Amino acid sequence: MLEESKLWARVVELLMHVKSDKAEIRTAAWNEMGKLSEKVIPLSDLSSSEDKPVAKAAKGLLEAIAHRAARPGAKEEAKEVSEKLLEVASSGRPVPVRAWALHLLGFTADGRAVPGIARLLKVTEVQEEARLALERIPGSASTSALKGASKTTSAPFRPNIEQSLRAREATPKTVGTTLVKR
Amino acid sequence: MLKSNSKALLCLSAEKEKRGKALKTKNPITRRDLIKGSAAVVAGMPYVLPSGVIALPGRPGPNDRIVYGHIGIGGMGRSHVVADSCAALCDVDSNHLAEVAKTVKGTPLLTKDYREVLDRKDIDAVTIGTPDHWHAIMAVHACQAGKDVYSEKPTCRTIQEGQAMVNAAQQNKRVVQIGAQGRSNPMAHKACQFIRNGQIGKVNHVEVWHSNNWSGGWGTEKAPPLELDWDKWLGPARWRPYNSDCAHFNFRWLMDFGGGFIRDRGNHVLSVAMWCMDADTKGPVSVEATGQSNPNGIWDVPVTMQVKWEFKNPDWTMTWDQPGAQYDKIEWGAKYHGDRDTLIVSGGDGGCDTEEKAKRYSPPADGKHIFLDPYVTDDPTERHRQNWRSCIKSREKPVMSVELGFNVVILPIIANISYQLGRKLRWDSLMHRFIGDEEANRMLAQPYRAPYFL
Repeated sequence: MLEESKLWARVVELLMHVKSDKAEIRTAAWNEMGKLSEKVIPLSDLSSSEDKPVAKAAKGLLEAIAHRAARPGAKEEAKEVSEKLLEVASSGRPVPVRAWALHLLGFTADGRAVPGIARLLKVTEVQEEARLALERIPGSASTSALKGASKTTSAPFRPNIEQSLRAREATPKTVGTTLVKR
Repeated sequence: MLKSNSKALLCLSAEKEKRGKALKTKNPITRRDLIKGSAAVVAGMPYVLPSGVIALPGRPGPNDRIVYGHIGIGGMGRSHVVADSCAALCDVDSNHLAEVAKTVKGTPLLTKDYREVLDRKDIDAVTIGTPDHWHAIMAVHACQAGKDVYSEKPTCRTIQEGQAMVNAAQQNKRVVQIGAQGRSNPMAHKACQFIRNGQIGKVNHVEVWHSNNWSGGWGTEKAPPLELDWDKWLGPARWRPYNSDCAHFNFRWLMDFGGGFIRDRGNHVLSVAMWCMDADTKGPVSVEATGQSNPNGIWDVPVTMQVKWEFKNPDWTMTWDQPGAQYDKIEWGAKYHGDRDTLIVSGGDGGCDTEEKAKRYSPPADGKHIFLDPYVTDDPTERHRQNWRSCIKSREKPVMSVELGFNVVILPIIANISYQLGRKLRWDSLMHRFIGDEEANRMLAQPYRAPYFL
């Protein structure tokens, strides 16, 4: 086990490496990371560090992990990462840590994670982030969850839920119209 | 609070409909009526006359004065203020309001709520100079309220916002100009004619460069200053506590509000590039972006960034490089690589310049003559505004219409998404969607904070 300060330095370094413009450095960093889902909880804890650069790097690395896991053809990896993110979001960790996990769930989660996210619509501190995550997740499960919540949620939060439902129903009507010759 | 705001937004369209019906049933007042009524102006009516009473609704006549409302007047938006025809000033910072109010004639409405500007029947057109995350929602609501719009670049923050803006402008028949004034810059025009007439041969690569994004700055989370309505500053964006390194000018270093130089000045240079490459009705087929994240400070745009867009039919590539080559020690610009020669175009906004060979060039009679509005002023930004004003009266498309502005801003939007996702993406320019990447498509829209919606 690396001593704490070295671990922090390594997190910062890894974030730089996974964002490198050199493919071989990125690949090596991802290989070193190993199983992505195993990194979600320790990095979430690190993201509330009082050492600001370390907290920022941990948050950035979590984001990189979420997007990596949600890449095309990696559904199981996305599912595993989503489960860990939901564990963080549902925990008693500081609200910003839980809110960040929910933000990332908006990118990684599919219908399987929706019931867990929907439960958080009842938790005042994170209900807005849960709503924003559900609004992003395509499919009927998240629509049903939002519709269900619109009937049971508290009055002050109901307009927010209704807004998400309206946004999901909106269909862009301008496809192709910008490419017409003047 | 949220509920009442939401209602107010909905009321706006209802009121517009009511207003439209009322106007249809009345006989338009003639110019002679206006002259007869001029005594009333002296007798104490507002300094700025409602233009709607002297011409057809939404169509000021060729000699009519256009009445403006100005929204977002802390930065570039301040330069758009028309001192002798301003009916309203709007900014979420009361210091900005007080400063600009001193410079205009009469007693315009001063407000922190843009909806009050849109509700004014005497206002024909609005300028929007807010941070990026407000552009789309204000522009859409302005179009729905029957106002013509000059919105600062970049057009919007997301693909969905751009679609909504185009839709609103087309459905409501509004004149919407995007403030990418390279399209009104005679130097950019010279470069465009030079390239489009084949003077450097077939261009296969446009190399865009810019100095690095700013880095550093942790700021302090604290109560916002009294003059600033922080909740309104955030508007549709995700809530976050006030931090001085986030507000006002610094919005551009955060993805939630701006998106770095590539969306800021990048929008200028990319706009000129799309013009020179005759690519206003085309889009890339792929984008790949990498960059070095910022280890310190609250800002989350990368410090350095490299992007490659690929275009097909014809085949060419464009690259964005921070800090890049910085040819001739120029901070930002583009080098066009043709199969016979190259051309450097520095900047892309009001400060654009190019090489002597392009400046000296005039196309032959049967060559390609690119349109440039013939205004007599040395200031490209003013030329750009004049083009908008002229189009408000003629109802023609301005030189940087919302359709063109949207087509340009797609480039930095999808580049930032590629950077955030850490992978190359394929893009469908017709459908405005990524191909084969469901997660990337989740980033085409940004869920809004209630009660804001498009």
